[in-house]
Amino acid sequence: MKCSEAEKLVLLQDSGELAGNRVDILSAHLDECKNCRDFQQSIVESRVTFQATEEPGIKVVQDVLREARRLAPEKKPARIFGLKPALAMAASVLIGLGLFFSAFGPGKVGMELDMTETQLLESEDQIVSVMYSGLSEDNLAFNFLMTYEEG
Amino acid sequence: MDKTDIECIKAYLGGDANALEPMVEKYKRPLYSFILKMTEGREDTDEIFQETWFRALKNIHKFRHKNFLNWLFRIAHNLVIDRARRNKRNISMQSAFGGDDGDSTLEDRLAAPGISPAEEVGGTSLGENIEKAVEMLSAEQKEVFLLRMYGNVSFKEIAKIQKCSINTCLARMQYALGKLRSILREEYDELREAMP
Repeated sequence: MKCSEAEKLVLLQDSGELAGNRVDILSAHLDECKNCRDFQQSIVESRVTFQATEEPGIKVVQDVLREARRLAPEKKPARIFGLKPALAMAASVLIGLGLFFSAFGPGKVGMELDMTETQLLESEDQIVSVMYSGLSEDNLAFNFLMTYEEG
Repeated sequence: MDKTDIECIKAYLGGDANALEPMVEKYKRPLYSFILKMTEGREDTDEIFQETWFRALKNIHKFRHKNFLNWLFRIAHNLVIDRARRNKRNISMQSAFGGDDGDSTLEDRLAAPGISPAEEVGGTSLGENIEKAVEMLSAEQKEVFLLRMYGNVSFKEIAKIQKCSINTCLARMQYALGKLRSILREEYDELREAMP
C-alpha cells in the first residue's frame, strides 16, 4: 500500500469511518511505516494544539438565548381538555347502561323469580300448616285411613 | 445527535423556552472558534455566530439531522459564504469553496479587519504561530481541518457541506496536516516530548 493511501485510511480511522478488512490492512502498514505512524501522531498533536478555546462574549450568548425564548412555541394545553366531550359521553353511556340493567337486567329478573318461588313455597307451607293445625298425630292417621278406604 | 440534544429540542418544541440553553452552552466554543478562524475579526464572528443560532432556532422544527453541531456548522458555512458575497470582494467565494486546492486563503479574499485570535490571547508566540500556520492553508483545507478538530465532523458530512467527494476532503486534510506539521514543527516536537 502507498503511504498516501495509508494516510487517508488513518484519517478515516480517526473519524470512525474505517471498517472491515481495511482496518487490518492499515494496521499492517503502520507496523512497518514510521512516516505513516508520524502522520497518525500529528493528528493527535494537532488536536491538542487546535482546541476550541474561543468563545463568544456574554452579550452575544444572551442575545441568542433571548431570541430562543422569543421564538419558543407556546406551551400546548393539556390533552385532558381535549378529551372532555369524550369523557362526558362515556360517562353518560355508563350511567344509561347502569339504569337499564338495574331496571331490566337478568339479575333483577332472576331475583324476582326466586322471590316468587319462595313466596309460593311459603304459601303452600302456610296452607298445610293451616290444614293440619290443631290435629294430633292419631287424628291424622285416622283421616289417612278413611281416605284410603273410601278410595 | 446524542440523547440529551433530542430531549432538549423536544422540550423546546413543547414550549419550554429555556430548554436550549444547555445546547447553546455546549456548542458555543466549537462553533465560535470555527467561525472565528473562517472569517477573522470578532465583529463578523459575533454576527455570524448569532445568525447561525437564529436560523437554527427558526428551523428547529425541521431539524432531521443526526448531529446538531454538524447542522450548526453547515449553517455557519453557508453564512460565511454569504458574508463574503456581501462584502463584494473581487474573488467569488463560491468558486473558492467549490474549486481546486489553490493556495489563496479565505483571509486573502475577505481581509476582514479586527483583532486576531492570537492578539486576543495576548500575542503569545504559540498563538501567533498557529494563526500564521492556519493562514497558510486554502479556505477549503482550513475548513476541513477545523471541522475535524473543533467539531469531530465526519468526512462524509464534510463532503456534503463542501459539496465534494470524500476523497477530495481526505486530500485536503492530508495537505493541511502536512503543512501545519511543517510550520509548527517546534511546537509539535515540544508536544511530543510532553506526551507520555
